[in-house]
Amino acid sequence: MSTLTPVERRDAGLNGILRWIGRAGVLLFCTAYLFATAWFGVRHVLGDSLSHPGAYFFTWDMFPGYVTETSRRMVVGHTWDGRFVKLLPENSHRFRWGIHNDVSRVDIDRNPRNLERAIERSVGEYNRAHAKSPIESVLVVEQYWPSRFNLPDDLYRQSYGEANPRRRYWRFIDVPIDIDAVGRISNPSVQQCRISNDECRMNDEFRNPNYVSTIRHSEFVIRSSFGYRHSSFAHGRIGNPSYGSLEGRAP
Amino acid sequence: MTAPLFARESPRPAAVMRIGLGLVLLWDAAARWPHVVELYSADGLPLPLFPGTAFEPPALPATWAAVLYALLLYSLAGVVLGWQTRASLLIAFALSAWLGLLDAAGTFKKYSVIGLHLLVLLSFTQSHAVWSVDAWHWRRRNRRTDFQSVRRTGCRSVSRTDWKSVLRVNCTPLSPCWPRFLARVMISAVYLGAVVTKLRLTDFANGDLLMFSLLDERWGGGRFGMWLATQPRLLVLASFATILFEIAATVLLWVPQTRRTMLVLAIGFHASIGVALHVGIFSPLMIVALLAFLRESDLAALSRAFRRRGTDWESVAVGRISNPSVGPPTDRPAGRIGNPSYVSLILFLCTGGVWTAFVCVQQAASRPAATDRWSEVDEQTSTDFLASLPPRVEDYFHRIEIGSRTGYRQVFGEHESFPRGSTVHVMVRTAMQRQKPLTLHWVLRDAAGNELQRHERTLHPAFSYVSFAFQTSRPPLPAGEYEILLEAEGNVAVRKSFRLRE
Repeated sequence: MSTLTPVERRDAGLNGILRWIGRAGVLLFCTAYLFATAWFGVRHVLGDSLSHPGAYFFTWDMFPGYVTETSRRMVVGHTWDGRFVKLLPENSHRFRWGIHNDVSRVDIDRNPRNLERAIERSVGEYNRAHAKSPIESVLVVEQYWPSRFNLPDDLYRQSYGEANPRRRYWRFIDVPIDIDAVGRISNPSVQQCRISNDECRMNDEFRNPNYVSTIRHSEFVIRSSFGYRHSSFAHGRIGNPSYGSLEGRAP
Repeated sequence: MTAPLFARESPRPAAVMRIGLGLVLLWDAAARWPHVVELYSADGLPLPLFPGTAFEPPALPATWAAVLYALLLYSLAGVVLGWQTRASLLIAFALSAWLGLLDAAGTFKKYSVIGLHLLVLLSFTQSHAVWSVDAWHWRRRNRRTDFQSVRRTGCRSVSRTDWKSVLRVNCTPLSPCWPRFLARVMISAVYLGAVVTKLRLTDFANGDLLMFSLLDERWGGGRFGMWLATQPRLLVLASFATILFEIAATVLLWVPQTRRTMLVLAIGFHASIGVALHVGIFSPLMIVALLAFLRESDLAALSRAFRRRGTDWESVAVGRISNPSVGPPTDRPAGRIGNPSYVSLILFLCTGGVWTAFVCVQQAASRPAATDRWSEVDEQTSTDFLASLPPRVEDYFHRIEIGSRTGYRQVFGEHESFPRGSTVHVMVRTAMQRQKPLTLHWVLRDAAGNELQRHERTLHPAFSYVSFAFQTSRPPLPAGEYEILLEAEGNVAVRKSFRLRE
């Protein structure tokens, strides 16, 4: 066996300097990494987990919460001729998630800013493709149900002693969104809704049962009469001044 | 103090991590390949993690997004194969971060961040020194070369007398210890962070977080997970076991005497999470990350188990035999036309280019026409969401239990038959968001339907548990069948029967 002299002893001069610089770089990298881990770890312990977007990369807060219900979100556009069109998730959005592979990205990502952007985009594209009957307002609705209804039938019967009813409910998630000519959202209440969509509720007037029943009963009559439909829908119920401009517009 | 950081170790554990990481990330990335245009391109629907901040990368047109994604897949394949390994690791890191940050909904999760950490840290190791195309090329090149070439390609410590024997042990460089040390720190931080998160949630200790996570269709489980969600006692035990394990793993993975045991437990822990929950590649990725605690001696033990002998890397690392090398093998090709590196590069690019073009065309062709992108909402659905009817009251209640004694959000003891005069405890777990307080009536009826007791309580929306205790001694109730009803808003929400015995 020969004697292998360590490089550290044999190298000198420039190589030594380069090696020293390399080691200093390693030391710097390790220090920075450990410091970031410790810093954001302590911030997480203190409860300030999102102090900076960079914190996301060093904060380990898996399973931070839970929901007791399951929901499916849908963005519905109300067209000039009175139809309701499903804007999001659109048919071309085929990515799905979840145990049954049926959860769309709109259901996973609840960032209101992303939702706002997606709506702007969809409305703009829809209106370009359907110039004769553009989207005039947008509703964000959610179908929801208690999570226990997700149990398989046999487990549900075993646990609750009855067949799984699989009831579904609907609710409005956001305020109605006004769309201008190029598809921008102009309702200031949406702009203010930054923290959580769940905190953004329909205004009381729109949620008024009388209004809802009016729409329910008159919906299919209204379809055959644009003028009546818009004057009723826009002025009397929603109370949003922007709807006034719809009157008299040609279909 | 910094000496352990600059120590060197066998490259084989890092190579195992590299291969495992590459496989997991490649599997994950390949599954999204059909959705590249939708997820990552400006022509689709990017949902960035940090919209409007410096952490929102630009979304490229569909073709370029597909090309970048193809490059990501190539680089991950390079990581697995150990071909141009360091470049592949860094390219995979950059593209994973870029594309991942464009899609918070379907791509970028916390486990993606773990993957990014590992990609960066592994790029500093010599994970390509074994079990890689790079190592194969390097050995093949040096087999045909002379002593000076060996020295030029990295083995500068090789003396003239023994270079052939050195080549026999592959002249493979040792790997620096510090990248895997940082990976170990990250894993401990992951467990510690998870513990902190859980300790902050009061509903974790009673199993609610686990139960509703299992019932969640996004992250919830399959058959086993759903079954587990119906077992309240097991959920509590599993929740506490999780916390105990995470605390123990944070510490005991670093203790030499308990390292192997904890590694096995941790792999089992993550495997069980993978079975019970739908959390993407979290479980396999954590198992790969845990390999940062793997040592050469573990691999040697495995080799012995499979009756295979290899280089005694542990001894090499601690200097018991001559360290054959200290410098990394060069990734540079030898410079001759016909070198395998050039051939493989050309083949790689040609194949990849054709594949990319094919998929780009396929993806573009699969996009529906503008008129088919949106469908009209059917009449029943539009009527339903416009009506927006509130849930039935019984759907606000998740579970009802009765027992002879009460604990922390659980009831225990007898639950069907009680001695006369005893107290019957009822515990109800509510569900779903409520906007206003519910007026509850606790009602006790006998078998004939006669109302014996009625008590009114108010349930505030902030509370998720409500309990009550019926005294069967005041007035004394005879033996027989009874029924407890919980009425809300005038409707029977839940009911439970029990029997009083002599």
